[in-house]
Amino acid sequence: MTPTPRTGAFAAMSVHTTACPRNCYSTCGMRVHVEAGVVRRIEPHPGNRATPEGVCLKGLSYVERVRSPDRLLRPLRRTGDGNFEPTSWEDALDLISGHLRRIRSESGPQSLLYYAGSGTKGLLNGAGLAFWRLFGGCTTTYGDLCWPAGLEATRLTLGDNRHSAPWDISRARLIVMWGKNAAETNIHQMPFVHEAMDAGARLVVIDPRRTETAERADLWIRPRPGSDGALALAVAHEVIRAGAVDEEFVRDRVLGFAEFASLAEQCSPEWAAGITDVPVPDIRRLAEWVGRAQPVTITAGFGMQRYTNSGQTMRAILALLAITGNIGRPGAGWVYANLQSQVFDEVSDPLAFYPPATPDGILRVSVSTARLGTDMLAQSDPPLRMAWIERGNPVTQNPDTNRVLEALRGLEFRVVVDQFMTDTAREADLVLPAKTMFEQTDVIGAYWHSYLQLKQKLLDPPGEVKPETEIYWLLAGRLDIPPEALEGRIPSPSDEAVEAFLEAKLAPFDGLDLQALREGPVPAPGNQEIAFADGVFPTPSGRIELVSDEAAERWGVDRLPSYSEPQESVRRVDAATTHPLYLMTPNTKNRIHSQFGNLQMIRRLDPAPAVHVNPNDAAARGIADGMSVRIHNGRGELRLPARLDPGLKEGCVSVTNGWWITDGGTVNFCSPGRETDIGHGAAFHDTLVDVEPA
Amino acid sequence: MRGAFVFDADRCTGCQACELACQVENDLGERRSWRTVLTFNERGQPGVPVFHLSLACNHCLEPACMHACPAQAYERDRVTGAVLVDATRCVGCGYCAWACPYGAPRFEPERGVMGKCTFCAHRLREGLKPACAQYCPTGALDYGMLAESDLSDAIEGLPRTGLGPAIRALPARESFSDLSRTARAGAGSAPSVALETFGAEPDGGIGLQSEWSLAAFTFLLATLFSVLAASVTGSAAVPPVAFAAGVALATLLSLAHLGRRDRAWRAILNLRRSWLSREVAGFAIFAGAGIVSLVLDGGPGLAVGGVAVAVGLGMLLSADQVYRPVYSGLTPILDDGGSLLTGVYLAGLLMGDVRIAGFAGALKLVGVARALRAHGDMKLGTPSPTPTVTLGTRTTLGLAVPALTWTLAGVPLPVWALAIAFIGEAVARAGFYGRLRIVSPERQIRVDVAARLAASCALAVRRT
Repeated sequence: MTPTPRTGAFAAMSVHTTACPRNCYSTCGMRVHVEAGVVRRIEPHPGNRATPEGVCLKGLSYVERVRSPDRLLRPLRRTGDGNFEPTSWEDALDLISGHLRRIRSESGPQSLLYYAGSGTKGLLNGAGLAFWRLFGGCTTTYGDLCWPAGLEATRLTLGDNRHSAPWDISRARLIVMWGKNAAETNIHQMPFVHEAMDAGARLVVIDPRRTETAERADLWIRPRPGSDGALALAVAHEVIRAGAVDEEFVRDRVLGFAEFASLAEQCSPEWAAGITDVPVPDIRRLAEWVGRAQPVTITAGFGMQRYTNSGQTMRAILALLAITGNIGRPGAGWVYANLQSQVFDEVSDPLAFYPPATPDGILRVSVSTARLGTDMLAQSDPPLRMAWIERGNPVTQNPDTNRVLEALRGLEFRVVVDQFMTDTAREADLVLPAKTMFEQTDVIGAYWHSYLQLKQKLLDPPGEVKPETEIYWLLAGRLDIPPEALEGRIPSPSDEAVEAFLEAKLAPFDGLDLQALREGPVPAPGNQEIAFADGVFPTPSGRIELVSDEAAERWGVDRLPSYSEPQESVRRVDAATTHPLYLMTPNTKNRIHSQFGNLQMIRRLDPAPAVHVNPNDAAARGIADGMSVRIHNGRGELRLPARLDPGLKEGCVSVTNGWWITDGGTVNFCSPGRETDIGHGAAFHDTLVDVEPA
Repeated sequence: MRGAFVFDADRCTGCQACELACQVENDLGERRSWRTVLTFNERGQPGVPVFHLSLACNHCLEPACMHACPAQAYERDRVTGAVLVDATRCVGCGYCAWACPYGAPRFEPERGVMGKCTFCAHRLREGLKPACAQYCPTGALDYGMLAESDLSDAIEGLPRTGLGPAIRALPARESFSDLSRTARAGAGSAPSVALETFGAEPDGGIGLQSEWSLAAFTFLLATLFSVLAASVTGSAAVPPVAFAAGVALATLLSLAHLGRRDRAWRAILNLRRSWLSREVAGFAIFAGAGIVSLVLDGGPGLAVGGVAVAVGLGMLLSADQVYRPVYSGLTPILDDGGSLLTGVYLAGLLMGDVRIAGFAGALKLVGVARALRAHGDMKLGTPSPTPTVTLGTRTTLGLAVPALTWTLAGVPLPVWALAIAFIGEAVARAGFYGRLRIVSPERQIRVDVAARLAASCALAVRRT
């Protein structure tokens, strides 16, 4: 008997190198098997040493995603009754160019908002801004939703955002997962963590939730959300008191130790225990381990740097590595963001996020991503009239959803480019169908490993789907932008033109071309396997800066990483009395933000949102398991079934982010449009709510 | 040496990529996988570790599914050792799902047959590992050629069966369970939150509600048997048409739950090993001989009837044995609602034979007592299957009323008393289905978590 209808059919399959372009640590190298225009199998590419074992469930679900019956295959135009009807590209482009000409002549090009999210990586993403410049300009956003406070803290302290190769953590003797749940969000880090643990390393997990990662911890610490900076300073206090400072390293490489030490002196474990809810013995134990173990790697998550005090938090945590000499050595270091593959940009992140010091008069970089709705509404001279949104779903993913909706609905015309009918696409007047990762070649970097990888075109776009570059190219023709102006900026709509465009980008780098990338991942030129092993720190002082004048000048924060209470805190009496619970909105293994959750393969595993509530908090509010509850604060509310979770710290509730409003509601109905202390990040974890039976 | 899954609970983060790898590799569509990742202590009870089990078919040395299958639909692939179900032979009775303690075979409604993990035999033949093992992102699930001595099912949550599962399951490291200690402070809830707080989890879906047609079918078998026995012994005149109608109804009921009724005949192909085959074959002979005996007059009729009654006893015995893999008590044969016991008891009542009815009734009373005790022992999280009230009603109707009437009015029992007795016995049969439990990892997990939780609570109490 033969249970396998496909045995013998593999001969007809072709196998191609590609890579996953999602906003995710892993950026997996892939080998994709294609048979008769259908993706049949997705394997890991062994050339990517960071992700050799297998892609995650989301990566496997591309098999469905690319062929989903829900995919948008034609331009859709909003009708009078609020529904959508298919329209031709001719009509769609005419409609857009008509609106563009009108608003440009009436109120200038900057009355258009260009909003691009992090939905997909690639060099071709630059086509968007290139086009809007040629159009005459536009308004666009600054800052970033994800990680700027941590990036800026790292830049201020170490001078650059880079870290050692992903596998280096296996040499650590102590791993501190600070606010990171790698088992769900960076699963490919876990084999290296397990390797280290098998060799005797200890694992500390700092997280208010009992996560999959916390389950493995030798020490699990649950601080009150937003208080991690105080914890770090108390650990520093103990490390210094115990004489565990690496004197030689501090003398040669660190700026401002004495000042930092006098700050830390005031930050006793007892002081921190009162702020963080972490018991003194646990703080002492963490300090003892950090002080004694060599080498120590701290791998910090993105969640805890989305508070109004979190740049300082990240600087304080970084200081622990600096004073113990755990930077620039094998098995040691700060694993936060590794931007060594950002070799194509003149300015790297986070500086690229910031509004230019002197505006060029073409781009108006005046809308903070963190305050998208409020800032859109606040624009004047000219006010915003039209929006173009691509690679993003700001309605569910940006803070303060109600304000974002208000701003979007106030516009005259909205264009959204997407693969699916997201909550943002539903707000559009015109929805343009977007390509998937298999439908256009591009070069992508990463932010955990430092490979450059090729995301290859393996399939023709289905239906009438067009890549964004082609959409812009066609629009340029309608707006009388001459083809020679597009040269080197936007490739013409052919595979050859796209490849020539990418080859030109790769040309400055020796040995780097599309052919090499077709074979497999290539480490970025100049990649440091052990970051800062050369002892060179590109800070103003050339040292690791525990005191930073730039921090004070640019952001107005303390030169030292001192602790201050986040804006929304239960320790601020007024806030606590009305909304006493922290709303945590972590990522899940099942989605990348708001992507993938609409697929049947993912839905089978995770069908609907729920709010996790500690049983004691639930009991105090008369909430039973499964009961429908209202999560609310002054900004908005959502109603979800409660799930009692004894592993969640008391005083916190938790809903995974990325659910669509059509699934039951986005967590950002409750989050504030507010920036982090440094870096123009979004402080949307700085959110207090209350929960009650609905 | 044989091919086996290697599962390391320490490395498994429950990411479920294995489930999707299986789906994609085997083209199972978006809504089904042959592999399931289960979570031990899914509710995160304090003091109890949270870990995962990634399970599919364990391709056992003694495959319970294969032995149970009445239709000879299961085969072992000689090259790979895979236990495979042939969709062209399967009748979709679902009996293999009762028999398998790992929950591997599952009914596929759209095809009407059972489907399960094939070990990716097509890949194994090409020298590749099964897709789930090959593509595990953390290296927690693997496949290899292992010696028998390296195999192990000694991990919480996995039923220990002695079937020779092809798995080497490695438990999670100790720090998992030490969690409550390492995070003792600041941990809000004490480990006293019982599972019930979160509502009872569903129980694998076996019971009267799901198996009503089988309950009706088997009770009808017992009834037909008792009627025929009464007829053969001359205690009752049974119209052949009525008996034949009963047979027809029973046949319809037995077909009701098959996924592929067109292949129902295949259900008698595994007489050598499957009690289900024996029950079906026994029913066919009993029914045929029964009708013939009722139509024939005199000696020949009596002789054929004798054969039918003898076969009928075997049929009822088989009907009881069918439930062995899912029966939670001592043995289904001695259950108060057992088919054999019920058939004999009802025959005794109809025949007016005090010894037969008394003997079977006494055994039934013992069964009632056992059920009552078991009810008191019910484990945490198990829904109450046989409330005391039901047992009381059934005892009154089925046993006390006939006995009392007998004592007061003598034999034969009046028709109303017989009717009450039959109703009582029907209730007893229904109660039987409340004592069924499919052995499964889901169930094992609940039992093991409950035990851990009890220990953890006891520890917490001692500390305070």
